[in-house]
Amino acid sequence: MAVIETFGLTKRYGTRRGNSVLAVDEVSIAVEQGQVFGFLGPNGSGKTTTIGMLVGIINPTGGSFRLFGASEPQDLVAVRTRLGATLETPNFYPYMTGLDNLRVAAAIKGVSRPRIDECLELVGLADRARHRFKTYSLGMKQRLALAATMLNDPELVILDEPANGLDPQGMREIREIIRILAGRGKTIFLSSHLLWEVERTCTHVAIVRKGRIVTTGTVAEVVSAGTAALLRAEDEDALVAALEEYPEATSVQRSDNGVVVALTSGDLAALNRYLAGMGIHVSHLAPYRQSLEDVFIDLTEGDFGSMTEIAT
Amino acid sequence: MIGVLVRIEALKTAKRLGFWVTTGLFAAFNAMFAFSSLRSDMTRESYTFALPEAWRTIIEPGANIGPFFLGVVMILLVAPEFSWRTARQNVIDGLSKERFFAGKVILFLPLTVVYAAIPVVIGGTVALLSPSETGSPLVGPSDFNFMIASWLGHLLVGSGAFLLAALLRTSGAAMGILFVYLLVEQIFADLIGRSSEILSAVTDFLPISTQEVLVSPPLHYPRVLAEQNALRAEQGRPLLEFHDFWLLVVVALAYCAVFLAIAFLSLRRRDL
Ligand SMILES: Nc1ncnc2c1ncn2[C@@H]1O[C@H](COP(=O)(O)OP(=O)(O)OP(=O)(O)O)[C@@H](O)[C@H]1O
Ligand SMILES: [Mg+2]
Repeated sequence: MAVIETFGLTKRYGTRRGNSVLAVDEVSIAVEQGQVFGFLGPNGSGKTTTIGMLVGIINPTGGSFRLFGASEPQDLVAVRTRLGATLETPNFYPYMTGLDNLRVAAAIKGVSRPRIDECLELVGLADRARHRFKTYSLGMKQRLALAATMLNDPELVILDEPANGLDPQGMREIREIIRILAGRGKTIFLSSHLLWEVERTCTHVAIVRKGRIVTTGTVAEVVSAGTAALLRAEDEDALVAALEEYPEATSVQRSDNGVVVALTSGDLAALNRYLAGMGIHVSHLAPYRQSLEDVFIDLTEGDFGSMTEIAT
Repeated sequence: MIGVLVRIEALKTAKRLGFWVTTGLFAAFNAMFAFSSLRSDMTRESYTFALPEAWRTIIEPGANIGPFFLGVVMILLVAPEFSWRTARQNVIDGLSKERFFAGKVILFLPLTVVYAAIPVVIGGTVALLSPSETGSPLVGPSDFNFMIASWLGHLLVGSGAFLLAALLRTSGAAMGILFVYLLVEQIFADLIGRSSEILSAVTDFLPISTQEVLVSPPLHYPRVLAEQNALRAEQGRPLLEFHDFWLLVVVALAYCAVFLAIAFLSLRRRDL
């Protein structure tokens, strides 16, 4: 059964034509029960906006979605008791203690006191529970948000950048919690730009760019969809120039070991013939196994210009 | 569901220092006023601050400034829900926007009663200490109307502040606009009221004017009205005239309903 389904979901912020932003553009995805679904995209690509629409705080301007099969407003309110979500930064009452903040969330979710203590224990905040939220460090705030998410033992967990602000220990704990939840058959939908995190924890991914889904599938499918090759040649500049002209190439990048070219097909012999025809003789040509990060960079390159350019 | 809304709003409010400070200041103001009235009675040895005559004196100052203390409290309790994004979190946790709004209304209505009751309770208690022989805490019909009018004033200004908080979503801006409006309504009314009869009739019913008229003692106490008009006749000034009390009641309730309705629609339409 699909836990989340979106059909051409769209959000345009602002109505004036001059300064409106198309944040989410006809996003259609399906997340099946039990999947750990990674929602990847560069800054400003519409991840938070998409999640905001799913949890009911942002009104879509187009398209529709279903949660647990429900799509009518009344039904959505009812099924939302089966999910736990955090969005962007943790949002709590700064003047209240962590415990009191959870008491508010627990009252809304209809959860009893012992469960609050259990969740505080789970995220390692039990001994700071009686301190005010505003005295918490960023990581502690994230942990409290995670505790609030887990209160109602949700069937669907939606996490927006859960690792943001966490130390390596915290990140590992999040990964561990996700693994435990997935093991118990929960569905997890998480947005991130920490690609190695996603590659390690997710079963499925969707990559989003400027509000549009550019690819989606299992992690293995997405990683192998674009084949790539690693090449070396005496004259690397000529090699890069030739590769950039090659019609099958989707991106060309220099790396420490040579030049990595992403290809639309896996025909390396054809590539070799093309280069020979251009008078370039390669000293090395081999299939290159891309990481999710490579695929991500290929697909979302150039959105913000390159930070490295600014630095140099 | 209502039980849940009451619980969460009670928790949020009880832990909020700003709420206790504002309410405490209002209570302290009333206590100070009552005690100083009692003391001046004692020194003059003429006991005017004794029940039941004292009700008018007791209710009047609170009826005038209470609505603005309540306005501040409502802004403190509503606007930060947006700037802290806790309204967002409440909805994510499973409260629909409609229920979030209902929770705030459930908070607002009892607070109007509490604020209207603070002067009555504090002033009434102090007045009971008066050594006057004639005292009986009986509330006459005029006193009762005055109390109702005071409560309506709280409802009107409080819901206006609620609306500003829901629209502007930051306490600073909402309080700024509330107090600027307080200052400019009269100026505005004078300006446009001068141009025609009809407009001047309309400006009588602007929100703050309505609230001020509602809590003016001559509206409720025929004796006060007679006294003031006698004085005015002597000085050659126009006599005081009031619209019907019930018309003012309806206008105040209508403002409250419209303010809350706009706040509701805005909350529903906008993203959190
Ligand atoms: N309230 C808003 N009003 C106007 N534009 C907005 C609003 N919220 C987001 N946007 C715009 O919508 C686009 C998508 O933003 P969103 O926060 O969904 O991105 P994101 O993928 O979550 O980014 P990040 O990785 O930085 O968190 C951005 O261009 C952003 O500027
Ligand atoms: Mg985001």
